[in-house]
Amino acid sequence: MSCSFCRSLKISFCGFLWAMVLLAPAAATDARARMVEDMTGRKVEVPDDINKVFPSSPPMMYMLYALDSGKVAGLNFPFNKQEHTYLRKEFVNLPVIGGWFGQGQTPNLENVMAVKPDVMLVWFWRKTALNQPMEKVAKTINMPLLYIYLDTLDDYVRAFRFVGELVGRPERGNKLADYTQQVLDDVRPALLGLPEEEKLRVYYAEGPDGLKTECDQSPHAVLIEAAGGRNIQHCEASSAYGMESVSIEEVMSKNPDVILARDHKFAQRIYREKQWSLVRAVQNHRVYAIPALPFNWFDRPPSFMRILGLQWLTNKLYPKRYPVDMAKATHDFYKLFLDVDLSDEEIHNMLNL
Amino acid sequence: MKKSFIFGVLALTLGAAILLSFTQGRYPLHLVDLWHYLQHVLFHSPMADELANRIGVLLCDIRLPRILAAVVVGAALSVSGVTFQAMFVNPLVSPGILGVLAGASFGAALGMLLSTEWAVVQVSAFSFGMIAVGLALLLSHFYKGDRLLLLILSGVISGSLFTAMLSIIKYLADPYDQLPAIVYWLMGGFSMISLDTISTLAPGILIGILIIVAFANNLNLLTMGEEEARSLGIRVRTMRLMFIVVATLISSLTVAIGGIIGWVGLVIPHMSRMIIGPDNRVLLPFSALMGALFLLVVDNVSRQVFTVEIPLGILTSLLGIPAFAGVLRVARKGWG
Repeated sequence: MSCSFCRSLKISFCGFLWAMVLLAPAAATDARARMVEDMTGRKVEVPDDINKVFPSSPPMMYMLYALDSGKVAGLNFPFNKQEHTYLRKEFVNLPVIGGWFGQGQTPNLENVMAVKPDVMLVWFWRKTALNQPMEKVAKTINMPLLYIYLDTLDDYVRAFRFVGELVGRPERGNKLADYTQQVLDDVRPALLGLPEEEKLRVYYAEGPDGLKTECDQSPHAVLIEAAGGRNIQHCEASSAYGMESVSIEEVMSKNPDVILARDHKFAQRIYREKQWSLVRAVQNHRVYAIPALPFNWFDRPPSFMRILGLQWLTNKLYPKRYPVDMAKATHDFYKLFLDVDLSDEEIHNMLNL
Repeated sequence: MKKSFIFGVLALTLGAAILLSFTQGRYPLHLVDLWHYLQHVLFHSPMADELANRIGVLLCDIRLPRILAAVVVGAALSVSGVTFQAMFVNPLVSPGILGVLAGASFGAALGMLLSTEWAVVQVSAFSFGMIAVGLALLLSHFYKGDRLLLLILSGVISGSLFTAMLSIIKYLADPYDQLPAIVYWLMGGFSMISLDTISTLAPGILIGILIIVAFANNLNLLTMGEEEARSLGIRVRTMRLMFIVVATLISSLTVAIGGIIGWVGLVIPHMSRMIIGPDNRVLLPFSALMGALFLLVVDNVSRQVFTVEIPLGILTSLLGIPAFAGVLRVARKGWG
């Protein structure tokens, strides 16, 4: 099968590759001027002006959206109708280029290159098997990759400042960081001195049957502890993914004071279902449907909406200790983070559901 | 004589297991309380309202539906397994052979994608299970040749088609709520069960099982091969179609109740055949009891061994695989 044609094809292909390798950095060098240290301490060279950012996963994408939606190069996945309501049109119409978040939608390199991102920002939750392919991809298309911590709300304070500085919007970054810090500074003293035995026992119900939940150690349920509650599901998460199945009898025997329902249908149904009728939270009418517009306030996706979620949950659990005006807080938050002016009716629907 | 003895033992064991299951669960319920409750219900002996209510809910609204579901689904899957194995004269066939489980999985996923009503999901699962098998039957008619072989081949095609479409649905599903719901549903389990669901769907399954058992003799004749069965005056095509429709119907209904529960329909028929022999008149009811017992025990394990519940489909496979490996070693004997 060896023939001169094949050889010449090979040579010209090689030549083409070389040309790409040689040309690509040449095109980028003049714009690439500063060294920055990402949040894990890696030193990375980035262009002076960063106009387009490729977020590797939804939490990162949302955070960028709040900071400056114009900097987002492409979406991780198409948004659904419900999310469309409060997001900018030009943002939801961006091309979908995928991301690495373990649910398919793995990016096609050519699509990534087509939207011309200057840097790639990756939520560094912990080192997983996905880090290598991501770093490899970044290297292949010669794009700087920076790791960002977004695990806790304190991380958000730092991340807003860091990314704001990085993409040339330091005032905006500082403004969002200051707001977040203010929320933490308000909530923490309010919960100070709350005796361990007075902490409410909370069950986080996921899934259409309400029988999927998260362990207290899981990053999916951090808000419960942050708001001064105690997660009744005391365990180590069996996987990063979470969603542990529990039986109704297990929930009954632990008898939570409060149930947080992710599925709004379930939250309505629970009061009618005899199976749940013996749980204290149901008897005391303390089942709360977690608001989810435009993204969930609690988790899945973990996003900056948790900053509002923390206020909501602390207020629901301990209205006397943390008597915040949730309608006003919601209005201010949407205005600042999402640039949305909610009407009183919308806020009412969102909070009462 | 010996067979009826074995039958009696099995029926008694199942009865005892059902009763015992009422006392099992994560919620601590003392036998003494149960005893008082029984007296309270039967003889109106005095009992605190709150306690009586609590035990009532635990027994009737939480444990009873699950026990019924496990028994009915276990019986349905093994009867359907026996039927298919006998009809295809092949010990490796399971209820999913004609694509019913793949179709039902697709249907359930589609339902979850398009609707938030659970009833829609159930109806969709059931309907697409039937549609997948209908497609397999239709495909098999396009070709000439060995009918059984073509049926199996068409079943594989139909099953693959719906599996591929299921993957598309998973890809389209919203990764936060819909996708996990689909994945968990496909692992099987009775956590969504309620008394309403089971009392609506169980009669259909029971009638299906009764029909198959009533025609067990014809199934025996089909096992002898197409020519022989025909020479004995059986309308092979009609009979075969009837068995396929009924067996598909009951396995589709099990998916609507508890998602995809694997291995029961493959392993239990074999175990039963080893114990009681290949005569379908005995084998069918016997494997129904065996399947019911197996799934009941597995579900009891699933709902109480750990604080987190293990999806039923995983447990049946984990427990079913070693059993199946053992059975395979002696499979030839049973079919002699």
